[in-house]
Amino acid sequence: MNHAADRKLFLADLGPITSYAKRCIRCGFCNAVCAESNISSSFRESRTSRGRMILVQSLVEDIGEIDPYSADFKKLIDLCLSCRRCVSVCPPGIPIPDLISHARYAYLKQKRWNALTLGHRIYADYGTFDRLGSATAPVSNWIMERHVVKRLMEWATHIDARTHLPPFHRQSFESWFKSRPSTPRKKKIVYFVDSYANYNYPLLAKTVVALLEHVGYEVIVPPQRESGMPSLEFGLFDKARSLARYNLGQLVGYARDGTRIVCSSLAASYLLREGYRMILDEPEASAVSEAVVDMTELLLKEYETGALHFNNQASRRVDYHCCCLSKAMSLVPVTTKLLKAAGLVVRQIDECCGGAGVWGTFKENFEISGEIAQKLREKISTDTTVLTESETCKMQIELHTDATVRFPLEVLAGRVSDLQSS
Amino acid sequence: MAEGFSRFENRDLEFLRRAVGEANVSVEESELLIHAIDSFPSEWVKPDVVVWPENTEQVSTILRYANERKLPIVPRGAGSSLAGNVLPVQHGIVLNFRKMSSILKILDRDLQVVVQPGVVYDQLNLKLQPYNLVFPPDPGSSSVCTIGGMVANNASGMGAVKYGVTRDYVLKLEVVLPNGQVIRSGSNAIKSSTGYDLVRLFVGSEGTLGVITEITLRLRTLPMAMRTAVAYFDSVSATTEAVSEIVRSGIIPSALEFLDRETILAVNRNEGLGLKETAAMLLTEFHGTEDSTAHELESALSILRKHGAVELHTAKDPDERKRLWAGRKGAYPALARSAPNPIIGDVVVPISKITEIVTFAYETAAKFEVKLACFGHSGDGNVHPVVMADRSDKELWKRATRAVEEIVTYAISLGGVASGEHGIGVEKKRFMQIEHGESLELMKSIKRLVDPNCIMNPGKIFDL
Repeated sequence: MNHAADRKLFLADLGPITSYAKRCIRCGFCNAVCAESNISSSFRESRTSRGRMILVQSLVEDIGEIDPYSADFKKLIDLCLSCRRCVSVCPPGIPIPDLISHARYAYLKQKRWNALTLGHRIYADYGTFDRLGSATAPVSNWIMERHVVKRLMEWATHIDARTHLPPFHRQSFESWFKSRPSTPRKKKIVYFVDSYANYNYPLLAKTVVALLEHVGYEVIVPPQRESGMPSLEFGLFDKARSLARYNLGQLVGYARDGTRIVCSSLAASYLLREGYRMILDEPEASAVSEAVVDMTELLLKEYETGALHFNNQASRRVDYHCCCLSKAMSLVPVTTKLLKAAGLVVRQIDECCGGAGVWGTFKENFEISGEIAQKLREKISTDTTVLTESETCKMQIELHTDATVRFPLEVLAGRVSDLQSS
Repeated sequence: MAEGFSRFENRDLEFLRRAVGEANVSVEESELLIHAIDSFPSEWVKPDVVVWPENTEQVSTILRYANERKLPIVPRGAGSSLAGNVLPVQHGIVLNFRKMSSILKILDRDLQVVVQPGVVYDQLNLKLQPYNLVFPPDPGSSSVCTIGGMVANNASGMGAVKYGVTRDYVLKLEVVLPNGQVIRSGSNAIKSSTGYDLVRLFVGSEGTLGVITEITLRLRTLPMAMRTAVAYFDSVSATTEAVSEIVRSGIIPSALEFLDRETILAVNRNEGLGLKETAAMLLTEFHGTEDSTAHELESALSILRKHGAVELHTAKDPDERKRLWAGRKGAYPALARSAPNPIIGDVVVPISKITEIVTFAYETAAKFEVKLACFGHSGDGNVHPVVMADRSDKELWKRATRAVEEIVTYAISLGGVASGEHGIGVEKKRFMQIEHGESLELMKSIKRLVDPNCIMNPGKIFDL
């Protein structure tokens, strides 16, 4: 069967990023770091990172008979975890996960919403669902934990019933923040909270505010919507662009005034720095990108300049899970340095947890995700606390191990001298 | 279908499914396409089927059948080969060894390890680390290449100047011959004078004589100390003369790596390392004890100074060593980004001829109006001239391949070889006659004797 017309359409929707596919030299270096490529159930090459690249390359080079709109092809490109570990090892420097997201976009552009499960749609609109869940908590939490609801959810959404989504918090961070008096200060900083710290775990966002105020900042929390990582990864670029435009519109004024924008969520840091620029060739995206700083980077700088001091708590061993996005943004050495400065004995755990945002929660991926997590499980000590910056890695590690998992910021805050708790 | 081979039929597929199980056989378009090419920029040729055998018996069953049916067999490790070594040019059956990737035995007291062919090089060394052991050839593709592929290709890398190549470490092989017979050749003894050395025959045979299903490797202990230095030179000839003297001086570096100006520029463009943009850079490293490495490094530094090194850096700690290595390790990625389809040459010449081959490479590039960069393992005379090419520009591609051809031919005329570590594959077959002369006929005779139906990786190394 010849799919020439389909390929032409697909490549047109793939856009300029197509040129990268031509540059793949098929060395396979991406396979070496791709967690999904290294589990035994992925013995077939088509399930590996290089395999996916070769398939996209075959479309670009017009070789073979791959139908880019077939369910089989979509299934293979959907196996990419978008972890970004491959980007730093690819000799020709191909942004492989971006290329894969574009392939998903090109697929969905023609197939429309029919190709998505209800779960994809929920995750793409997670801000709305988080708002709803928070407003109705604790009832929403009680309902979500019922086994029958989970089974029903699995049937309707493809979100695996074994997944433990984080519970909602009745009072969002946003409403808490609005209710407290602000103290004007000379140094100002904008905090992009994102949905998880706003609706699921406001304590994290409160800790961030306490730390920022401790080192002398006045914290500004402008109106914001969810950063939109699932939309970007699913290839729902229209949705992702709309979220990006809204958030950039709220932030760009501060960025242009020279006010820095701090994120405590890795996904938000990544999107504001790089992700939005990938889908929006607009000056606002570049301006905001340059103003963004991750909370760990900011704290390290404050520590190094003497504005932040850690108390003399006893040294303690922690396992630090170096999550994929953290590695991609070169934040692992930053966090490690901070943790050590706070008197912790840090053991880095490099293995991917297999969660990959919400990827591992889908029933199609759940077993594979667990197989990836197995390597991490073997590394983690049962008697230490595991630290990770990522909300979804935390969720995944808690699901697949008995470990206590905490955010580095929480642990660091507990060791900061004279920190006023919010 | 090429003359001499049978057309792959449904009954063949049924047989393979019975032999290894349905899950281990694929005729899906996606798998066929992925196995239609390796890391060499070539035409794509799809195999008829891809099979993932799980043990030697299955390999034997498949080969016996394929031999009777005259179906081509292409054994494939990671597919990272750079000369089209695993292209299924006559279609047929690709055997992928991903499911035969176990470390069977670590004989730490004998400094040996027994592995299946699909074990990845870096993974093996990671497992050997707690035993203070290492399999040292260290090819550039160490994170992905398999031991089976390394043996079939006689691969090596930056450590070859001290540690040698894969062939120096293979003690024993289990090989399935084309007729399905399983033979074991070699022993666990370090030396032997008992007849023909079949192990050395199979190493580097690129899967044209049989399928390697088990490998016993000798190992080395990890070095107690390492010392690293980088030197910059104003001319390539000064660099290569320094190399020559270091090698002749009796000190044995574990790496003596060379980067020319074009490579340095590419690395700086790509990674912003701020390497000094001189005519050439040399990285040298010594492995041994604290005392021996200190002495060797000092001797090397005085030779480098004597030959006019304009700048010298030595690593004070592991972090600095990593920084010094970053320039060398960044060479391949940087050059891979410098053109859509760079052609990576792999010639080896006697050490005294390095200046000559590098100079000739530049002249040839100028003659064919192509861009060229050179880097390599100068300690063993292995130079990688990289010609910047683009397959979509047919005229440029033609000039680039002609430039490579002239460089390789000249290297052979200097007493060198067409390939030091990438193998012949389909890419360098045309140089076999030039390099081997009448002995090529004996190679062909051996091939006909072992594989009379020529089912094993047809179209590689030479045509019959």
